[in-house]
Amino acid sequence: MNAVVKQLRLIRLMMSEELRLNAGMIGKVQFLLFPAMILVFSLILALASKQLLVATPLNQMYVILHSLIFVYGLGVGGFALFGERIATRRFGQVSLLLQTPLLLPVRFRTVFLSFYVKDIIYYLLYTIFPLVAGIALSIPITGFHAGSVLFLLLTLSLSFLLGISLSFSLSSIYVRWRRGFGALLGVVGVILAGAYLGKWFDIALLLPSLDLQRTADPAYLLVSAALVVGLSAFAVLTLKIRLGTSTRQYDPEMLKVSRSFKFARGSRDLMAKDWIDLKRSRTLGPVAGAYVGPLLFLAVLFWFVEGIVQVRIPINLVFYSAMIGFFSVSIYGWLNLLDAPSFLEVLPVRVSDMVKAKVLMLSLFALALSTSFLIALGAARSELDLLPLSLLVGYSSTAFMVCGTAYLTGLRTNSYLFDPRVLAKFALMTVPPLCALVILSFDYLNDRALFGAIIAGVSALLLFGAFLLYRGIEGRWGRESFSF
Amino acid sequence: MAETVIETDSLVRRFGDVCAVNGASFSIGKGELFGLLGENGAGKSTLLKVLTGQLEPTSGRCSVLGVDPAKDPMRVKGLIGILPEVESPPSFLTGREYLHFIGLVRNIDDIEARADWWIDFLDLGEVERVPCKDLSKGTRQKLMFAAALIHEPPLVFLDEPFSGLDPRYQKLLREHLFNYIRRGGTVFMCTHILEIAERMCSSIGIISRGRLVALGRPADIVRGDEGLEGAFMRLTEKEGKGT
Repeated sequence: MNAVVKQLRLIRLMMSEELRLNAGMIGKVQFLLFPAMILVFSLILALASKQLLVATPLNQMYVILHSLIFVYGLGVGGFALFGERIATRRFGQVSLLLQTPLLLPVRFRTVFLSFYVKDIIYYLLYTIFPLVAGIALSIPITGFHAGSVLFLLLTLSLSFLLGISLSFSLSSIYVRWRRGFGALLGVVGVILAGAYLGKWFDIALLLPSLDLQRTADPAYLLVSAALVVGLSAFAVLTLKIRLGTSTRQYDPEMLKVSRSFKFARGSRDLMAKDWIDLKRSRTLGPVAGAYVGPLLFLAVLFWFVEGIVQVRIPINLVFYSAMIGFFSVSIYGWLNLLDAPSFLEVLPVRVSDMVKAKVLMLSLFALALSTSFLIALGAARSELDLLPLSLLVGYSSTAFMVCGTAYLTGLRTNSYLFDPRVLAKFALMTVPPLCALVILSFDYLNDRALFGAIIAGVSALLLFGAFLLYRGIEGRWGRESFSF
Repeated sequence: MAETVIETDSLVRRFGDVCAVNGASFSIGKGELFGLLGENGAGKSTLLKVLTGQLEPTSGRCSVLGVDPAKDPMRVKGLIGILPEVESPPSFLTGREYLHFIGLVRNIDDIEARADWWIDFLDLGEVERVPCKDLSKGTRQKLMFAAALIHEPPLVFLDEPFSGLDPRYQKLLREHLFNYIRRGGTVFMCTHILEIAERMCSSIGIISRGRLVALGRPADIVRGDEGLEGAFMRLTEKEGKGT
C-alpha cells in the first residue's frame, strides 16, 4: 500500500480513537458542549463588534486574537513531554494506536507523525473552526464580508499551527538536550517580555500569520507555511520517547496521607488513595480547571456583556454560586476515571464505600475552590456583602448535585448518564431546584429579606436532600461489583 | 476429622443461559491444599468468586469459615485472603504503598513491619518506590500474592497464583504455602497447570463445563499409570474430541 494512503488511514483511525476516548472520558454531551460554547461566545463577540471596536481598534483586536490562539497552540503542543502520558493514560494499561510500534513492525516516527496531524485536525475542528463559525453566523446581522471571515479562518489556523509546531519542537529539544534548556528558554523569555513591555519592537513581527492578516501579503503565507512544516519536521525527527515505562519513583506516603484524612473516619483510606492518584496522575490541575474554568468563562462572558456591550443582566454573586453546583458533576466524573477499582473486589470494601469517599473528596475540593472563587469574584464585583448567602447556595447546590450524581451513577458516571432513564431521573432531580436558585438570584437584589429567606430555605432543602441521597448510597451501591 | 472450612451444597451460578457452576457439592477441611482443575472457561474462577463473595450464587448454599458469602460477603472477605486471576494492583500507588493500603483496609496494626518482611522476602526492594502501573507482570503478581497473605488469614483463595512468576519465585512461594499449611492455614487454588497441582495439592477437584467431575486425593482420581494428566483428559473429554 502507498505510504501516504497508509498514513491517511492511520490518521483516520486515530481520529476515531480520539473522539471515542474524549467522549468516554468527559461524556458525549459535555464533549459537544465545548465547541458549542465557543461558537456562542464568538457569535456574541461578533454581534458586539461595533461597540467593541470603539474601545479596541481592529489592529489591536487582531493582535489580541492571534496572540491568544498562538499561545493556545503553544499550550497544547508539548507532545514530546507528555507522549508517555498519552500512551499510558487512565489505567496505565490502556492500548492506543500510538503504542502500535511496540508490537508491530512500524516506525514510531511514522505513527507519531499521524498522531500529530490527527491532533492538529482535532484542535482545529474542536476550537478554531467553531470560533470562526460563530463570526460567520453573525454575517446576516453584522454584514461582515464572507471572504474576510474565510481569510480569518486561514490566518488564525496558521497562528495555531505556528504555536503548536513551535511548542512541539521546543519540547523535543528539551527531552533530548535537557541540560541548559530551561535557562536558555528563560533568557529568551525575559528578552521577549522586555521587548514587549519596553516596546523595543512590534511583537507582532514574530507572528507572520498576524502580518498576513494585516497586510494580505502572500509572502507571509509562504513564511508561515514554511515555518510550520520546518518546525514540525524538526520535532518529529528529533523526537525521543520511551513508551510504557517510567522512571519516576515515590517515597511512601499512604499511611501519612491516610492520617491526614482522619476526620473522614471510614472513608479516610480510600480518600488517601484518591488523593495520591490525583497527584501522581497529574490530574489535580485539569480537575481544578474543569471546575473553575467554566465559572471563569461565565464571569468573563458576563463582564463582557455588561461592561463592553452595555447590556444589563440582573446577575450577582448568588447566581454564580448556584452555577457552581452544575460544574461539580464533571469533577465527580473525573474522579471516577483516575484508576480502575477492580482490585478492591477482593478486599472487604463495598462499592458504596468508594462512592462515599469520592463524594467526600470532591466536597473538600469544591469547598476550597468554590470558596476561593466566590471570595475573588465577590471582591471583583464589589459584592462581598452577598458572600454568606452565596457560600450557602454554593455549598448546598454542590452537595446536592454531587450526592445526586453519586447516588444515580455510582462509579460509572459517564456510562450511566447515557442511560436515558438515569439521565431523566438526574434531570428531574437536579434541574428544577438549581433553576429555581438561579431565577431567585435574579430577584434577590429587589427584595433582599424576602428572596434571601426563600433562597436560604431552598438551600436548606438541598442540604437535607443531599444528606438523604448520601445515606441512600449504601443501599443503592452496597451490593454492586467493582468489576465491569 | 479436620474442621470443615468450606462447604457447598448444590451450588449453581448462571450467566443468562450459560451455567458456569452446575450443582457443586463438596467440603474442604482445615489444613488442606485444595486444587481446582479445569479447562479454560470450565467454571473455576466463577466458583472461586462465588465462594469469596464476589458473585452471588443463582441457587444452592455455601459456607466459608462458617459464614455464608452470599449473605455477608464483607465478613468473608475480611476473614480470608484472595489472589485474583488478573494481577491489577492500583496504578498510582507504589508496591509498598499498596501493602500499606491493604493494612489500612484490613486494620493490621504492624503493617509497616509486615510490608518490610514481604518486600524483603520477595526481593521487591528495588521496585518498592515504583508505581504499580510501571511494574512488570511478574512483580505485580508477587505484590498481589503478598497482599493476599499479609494479614495471615486462616484460609486463602488463589486463582492461577504462579502465573507470570519465574521458577525461582514459584519455588519460593510454593514453600511459603507449605509452611502456611503447616501453621494451620488452608488453601483453595484454581489452576490449569497440572504439574503444580500434582506436586502441591492434598486434594483435587476437576471441573468440566460447570460440573465437578472428580473430587478427592490425587491417588483416588488417577487410574493405573495414567498420571494426573491422563485422568484430567479422561474426565474432561468432550464428545468427538477424545484423545
